[in-house]
Amino acid sequence: MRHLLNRLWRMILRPAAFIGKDIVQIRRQPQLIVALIIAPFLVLLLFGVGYEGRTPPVETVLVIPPDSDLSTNRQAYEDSFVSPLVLKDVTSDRGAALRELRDRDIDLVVAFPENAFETISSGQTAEITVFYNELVPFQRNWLEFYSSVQTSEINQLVLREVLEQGFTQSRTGLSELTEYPARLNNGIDRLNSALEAGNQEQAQQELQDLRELTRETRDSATQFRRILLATALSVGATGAPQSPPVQNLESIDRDLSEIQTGLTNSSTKLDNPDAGPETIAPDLEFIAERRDDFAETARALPAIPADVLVAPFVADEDNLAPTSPDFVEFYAPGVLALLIQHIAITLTALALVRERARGTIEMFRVAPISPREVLTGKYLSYFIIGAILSAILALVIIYGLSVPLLGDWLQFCLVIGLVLAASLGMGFLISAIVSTETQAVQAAMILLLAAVFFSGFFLPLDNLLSPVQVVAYILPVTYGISGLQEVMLRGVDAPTWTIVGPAAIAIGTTTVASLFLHFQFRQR
Amino acid sequence: MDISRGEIIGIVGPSGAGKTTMIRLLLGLYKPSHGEVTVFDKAPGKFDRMDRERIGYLPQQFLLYEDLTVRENLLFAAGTYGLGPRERRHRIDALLERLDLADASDRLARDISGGMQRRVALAATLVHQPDLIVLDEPTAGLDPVLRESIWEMFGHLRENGATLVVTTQYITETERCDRILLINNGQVVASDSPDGLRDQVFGGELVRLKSEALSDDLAAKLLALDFVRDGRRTSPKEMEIVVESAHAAIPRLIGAMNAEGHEIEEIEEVQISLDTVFVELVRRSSDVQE
Repeated sequence: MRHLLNRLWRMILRPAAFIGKDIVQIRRQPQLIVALIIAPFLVLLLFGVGYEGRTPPVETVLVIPPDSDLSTNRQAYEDSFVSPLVLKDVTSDRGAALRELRDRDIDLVVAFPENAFETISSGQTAEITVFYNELVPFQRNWLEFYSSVQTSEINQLVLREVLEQGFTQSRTGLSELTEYPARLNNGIDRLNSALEAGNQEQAQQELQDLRELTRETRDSATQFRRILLATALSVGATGAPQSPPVQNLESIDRDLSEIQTGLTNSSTKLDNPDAGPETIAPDLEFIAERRDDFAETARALPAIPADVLVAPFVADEDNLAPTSPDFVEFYAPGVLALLIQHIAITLTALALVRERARGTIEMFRVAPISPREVLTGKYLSYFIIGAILSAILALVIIYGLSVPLLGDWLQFCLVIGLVLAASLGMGFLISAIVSTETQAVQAAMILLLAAVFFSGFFLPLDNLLSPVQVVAYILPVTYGISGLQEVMLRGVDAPTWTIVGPAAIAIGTTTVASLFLHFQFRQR
Repeated sequence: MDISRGEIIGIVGPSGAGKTTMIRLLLGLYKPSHGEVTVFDKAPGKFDRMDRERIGYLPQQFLLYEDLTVRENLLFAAGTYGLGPRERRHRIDALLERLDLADASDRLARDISGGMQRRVALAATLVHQPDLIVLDEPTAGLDPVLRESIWEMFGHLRENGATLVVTTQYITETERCDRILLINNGQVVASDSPDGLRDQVFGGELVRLKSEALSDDLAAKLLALDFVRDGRRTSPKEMEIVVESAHAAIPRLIGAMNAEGHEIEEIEEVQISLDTVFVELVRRSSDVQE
């Protein structure tokens, strides 16, 4: 029994020998600590301080065709350009504008089409040409997007003009409706005055004017009702015909129809030369009743400006996320995961290569220590080193940069621990495969590069083709970024896949590394 | 070839002869392409942990961890053999004393001299008190004084029952070995004690004789003596004579010369260096192989 315990004790002591050695070796390399922690942290800090996070203004020149009657006054269009597009100039000289663009003095040229009306009136859409001079793919995408938004804005502008013109020409709109009763009263007063003065002809003329006013008001109400119904249809409001505004407009239409009938009856009765005010008094009384109904209903009508009808929807952003991190706060979890992976892989990728290079692997092969014990010892020592470095980085990020940790500390530690474990496994795999330190460093750098492109650190994973996403999911940092963002910024538990993934990588890579090392320990 | 417990076996041979390969075969690092190696009554490939705990190995290119102190290097070496903390401390202190490293124990390995580094490496090999100590050129690059002290220590280890297998390019060092294995081109050229090897090369001990009266006739008479095995004239007045024992032969040679009426001006035993033996054996081996 004692012998067995002694053997077990030695099985613990042998891997433990590496813990002391490797930790002391790392501790004696302050430059390495600086390179691995302080330098990346300073980079993050500089990014945080220096990155404004706003889209730079896109300086735009608007080109109006020379033969167009459109104004070339910049102020006339200034308000129509949506951020980040900033109207720098309006010109008729398309060539000059394009030269400025080629010289990169401006960012965008928006050229109105020539003969736009002829094109539109022939049933075709007129093209607004947008020129840009950009190499950066993202920037190109954004410029195309901004151009589309700007074109939409111009279309709205045109539509708004059309609607407003339409309202004006038909002399309708809400103001016309609400003014109708007063104008009707005035007309009736003038009618009564003409009758009392025995001026039949004048009376007939007043009646004719009132009938015209009523017809136009009715047309306006009908148009208003149609626009309301069309808008309702476009926004999917199938119950619109029963809605109060539409019902009110229908009521107004009925009132106006009855007023129109009353006015017609009055006109007919006044054809009799003996007719006096008393002849049409019942009709005017009836009209007055309808007018009062109309006035009451018209007051309840909503005031809908043309702007609202042109652009009935505006966005009201409401972020349900528990926090709205700025750029530094958002990227901090990713940087933490990236640094942990890079530190762990860099340290461990060199671990076994250096032992081989100095000849100590040969001594381990002769000694009673097994490949598994060597790997266990190294794994534990680098896990401790990595955990200490990760803790320092995490504390600096949380307390130094005030990045929130809304979730559970244990979940936070779990994600970091798993990223570390998986990264150590990858590092040991590299170390077991490569034969020189240069190769190990190259491999670590390639993984860092892959991490930047494929981990979702800068580019969303969904932007990658499915086969390429495989690369993302063999990188521990991919799980780390998602897991840490969820725990730190959303305050929820890390998704299961961010736990299972790195655990599987850690087990897989360490197992394969162990097999490689076992193969290297084998008798040749 | 058998190696007994408590022997020092010296393996010598020119560069590339196969000394390190032989050591690696003994340690189980290499599998023999043919033939058989048995250590502790088993093939090295079948060593278990207990067997390995009995072996101490100093590779030819052993490098210390330069960023660790002398003591930390030894602590790590002891740890890989599963020594407990107390046992480590005790043994390391003793080794540091014995190898005159106590004052350097807290210095970084990179800051000590090459000789001290080699001694630290040796201490790391011995820290777990192995029964079989395999040392690949342990004195390479060391000054003669240090080499002497290290070989003294090998003697102490042998006295304590350890078996040492030592490769070296310093042939004279193998005088301290119980047996020498001479290897050339992967072949064992000779295997014997230092004196045995001399015997193999020269057939006995060598006596150099100088006389003004030396002539062909006189030389022939001397070579015909019954205790003389061989000999040759090296100059008109000198000749070397191979005898079984120089100590016994010198008085008898003086007597024989006097009986012939001649005086001997000088007579002495020639100390045949192992370098000479080595060169001769390698030359013969190469001739045979050609």
